[in-house]
Amino acid sequence: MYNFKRIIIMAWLLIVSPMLAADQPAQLWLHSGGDSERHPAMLLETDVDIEVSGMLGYTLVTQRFVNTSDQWAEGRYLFPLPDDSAVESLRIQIGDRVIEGEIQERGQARETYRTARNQGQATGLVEQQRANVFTTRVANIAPGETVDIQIGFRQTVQYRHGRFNLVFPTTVAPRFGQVPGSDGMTTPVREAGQAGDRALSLRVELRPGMELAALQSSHHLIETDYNGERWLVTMADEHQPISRDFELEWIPDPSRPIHGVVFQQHLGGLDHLLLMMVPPEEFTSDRTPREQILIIDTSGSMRGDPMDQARRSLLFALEKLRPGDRFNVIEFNHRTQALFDQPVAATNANIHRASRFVENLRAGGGTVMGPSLNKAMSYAEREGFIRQIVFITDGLIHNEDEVSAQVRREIGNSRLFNVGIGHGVNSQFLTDLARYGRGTYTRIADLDQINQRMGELIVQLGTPVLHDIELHWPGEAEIYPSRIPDLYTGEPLVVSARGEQLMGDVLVTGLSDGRPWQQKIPMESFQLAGGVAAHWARAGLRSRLDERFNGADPGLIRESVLDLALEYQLLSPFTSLVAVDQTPRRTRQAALRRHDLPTDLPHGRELAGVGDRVMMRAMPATDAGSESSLLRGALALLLIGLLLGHKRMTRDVEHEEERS
Amino acid sequence: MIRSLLLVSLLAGGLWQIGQGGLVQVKALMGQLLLERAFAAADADEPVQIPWPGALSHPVARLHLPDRGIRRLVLDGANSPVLAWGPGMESGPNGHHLIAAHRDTHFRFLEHVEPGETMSVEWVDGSVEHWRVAEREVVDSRTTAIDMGLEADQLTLVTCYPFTATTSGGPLRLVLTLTPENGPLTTDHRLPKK
Repeated sequence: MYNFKRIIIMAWLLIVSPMLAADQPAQLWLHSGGDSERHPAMLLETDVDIEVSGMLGYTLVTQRFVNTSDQWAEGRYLFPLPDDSAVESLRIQIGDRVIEGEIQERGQARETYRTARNQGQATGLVEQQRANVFTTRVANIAPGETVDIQIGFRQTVQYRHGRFNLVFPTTVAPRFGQVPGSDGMTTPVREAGQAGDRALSLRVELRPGMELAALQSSHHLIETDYNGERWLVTMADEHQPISRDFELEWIPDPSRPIHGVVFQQHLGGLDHLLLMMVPPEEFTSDRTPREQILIIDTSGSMRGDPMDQARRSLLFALEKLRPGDRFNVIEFNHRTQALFDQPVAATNANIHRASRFVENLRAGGGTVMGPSLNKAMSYAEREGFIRQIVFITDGLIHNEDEVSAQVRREIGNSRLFNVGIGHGVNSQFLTDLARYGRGTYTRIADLDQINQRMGELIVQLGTPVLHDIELHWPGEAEIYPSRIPDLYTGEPLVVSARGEQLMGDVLVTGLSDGRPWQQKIPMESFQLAGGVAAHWARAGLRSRLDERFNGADPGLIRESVLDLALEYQLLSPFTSLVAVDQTPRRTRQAALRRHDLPTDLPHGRELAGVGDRVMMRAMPATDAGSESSLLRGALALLLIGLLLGHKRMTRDVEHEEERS
Repeated sequence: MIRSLLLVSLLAGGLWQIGQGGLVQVKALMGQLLLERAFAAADADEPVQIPWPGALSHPVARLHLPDRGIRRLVLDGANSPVLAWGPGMESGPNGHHLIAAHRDTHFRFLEHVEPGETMSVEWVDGSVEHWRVAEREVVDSRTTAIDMGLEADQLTLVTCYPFTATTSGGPLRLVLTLTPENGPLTTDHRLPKK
């Protein structure tokens, strides 16, 4: 009976759900006033311009659409961006008019947009839906008109173990799924093998800030040009398939020592500096002892391969302990158990005992992670040692705010290294936590990565290349992050500062291999770069949003974030980008006019047999949907028959049973 | 309780869907019958004959495939309300004609029409043109538009694709390109678009 019910319900959903609005995935959708029909706008070309200074990337994406319908239309589209990126500018060119976006408070921006739209003005709006998903709307596009939508966003270049890496997802549209709070729109999806049709031109201007050993693209043929300061990268052939992401990789000269470089931007009467320090690829120190606390999740979900791999990683870490180091091992599931009461010296006997303990770890039970971290942070700090807490888990953290607040309260001088295993992990949370704990986050999504990733982490844990870092700025400065992390192999250090008069040398001091170390970065070597102020402001935004973990009042946080976002014109959870053309352009007559508007021949498209004027018409909608309706109707009636027949049959069986 | 709710909603939904689907088919059939009179009444002097009071459009031509026994009266304009009653035509400034119709009604027969087949277009003024299918292709409507600026020596037929799709509103279209059967047209009989 239960199964039968389930079938009925599924069939019911099948029949009824198409009657509820089903959104078609695609790119820019055009809505005409008073008309419920939507037409896909035709994407003519995509133009990508990327500027990179050090680790800061600024990307301008221009997409040209044409309104192929015969109506004045409103267009909407969703686009996901690379992780850790932020939209900064919106520029819309409709016909020969250019309108620039400005940042307004979210509700106000929406109001501005609606008003302008209803008054017939050309207008556009960019809103942040999720961390990396943005929507753009453009209103009052004339029939047959082309629209250029230009969105500028910042992204951070990735650096891992000697390689800088910049990715531009050519799928900058497609990713499937409903976005909550975005009017139920679906993000575009790209069908396999269909992307090559679109024209993409891409150009990268790269100022790496250091000598390069190599510059290459992973999937595309590129041409490079170097003028002694910047590299210019272009696609060798514009008609290359764009079904693969564009990935550019550059490798600094591996033989160099610690390399510090400062980028500078003057904005709004203030100086903004960005210090980037890149560690040498290989570094070993035998003078700075460590106190390593290894915490391992042994809850039930780790059972099987994950436990096996985690056990091996731990044994690997124990092996790498050096005489003079101290350590402890803590396991947790729903309860917490430490091998030793206090961290002990890494003697052969202790390591041997720890190895046996690790080999006997079995997975089982629930996940309560707070107490294990608490225990690790509660050990008294020991003079002359660097304490590293390595926290390995596969779990979703449910009481994130609580754990976060606890770490912020108690982390003291310990460094926190988080390792997330599998797909159920909240990476953003573990990253933020590690950042606060001045350590790193290692994500191991697939088990076959575990050896390589843990290997890299163990090398990092070896010893920081530079620790207890102090930065001496040329003046009073507001800096982010406020706690300066250590410099480890494989991870660069990026710090940004803002002040009134920051014109002068920057001095970096710290301890390296047990000895004092210092480097002066002279003012003359500062490189001008566009994204420095924005980077500072974004770091500031994040830090202000994080204040909630320290118990700050949400209203005050919102206010301070809003202030900063408006000052630096940044998109944030509380602000949106809106652009309005001041002249009304749509009149009632025009709205009724047919679409006999010629448009310029779109660049990059070939249309046989035409001169310089083209008349484009969208494909008409040519499906009345009668067959699918009839099919669903017939299915519904069939089910009713089944349902009634089933009822009678069951009753008959019951009668039979009663009689016998 | 849940069962009766299910039954009622199934019944209502089912009947509604069948009604919707049936209505489309009935409109498509009725439209063609009702248009006959208007088409017969139209001639070169009075090309526009309103088929019934409040009609959205009027017939402009008849599409004829004698081998298949297909006759379709073509209306002016290729937007959705018009297409319910018959195939719709749009014309470019240089004489290019586009005829579109629904895949589940008037253009169902296109499923089997192959390059090389011929068909004729009879205009309201009585003139007849003979066309041959030159090309048959399936395109994605999200990346392809129709160029209305083409010359008079091309006729384009469009319908949805595939014919067997069980959901409506898909992005694919079947496009047939036709050229004059006996070389280029010598005279343009076609009526100018108002």
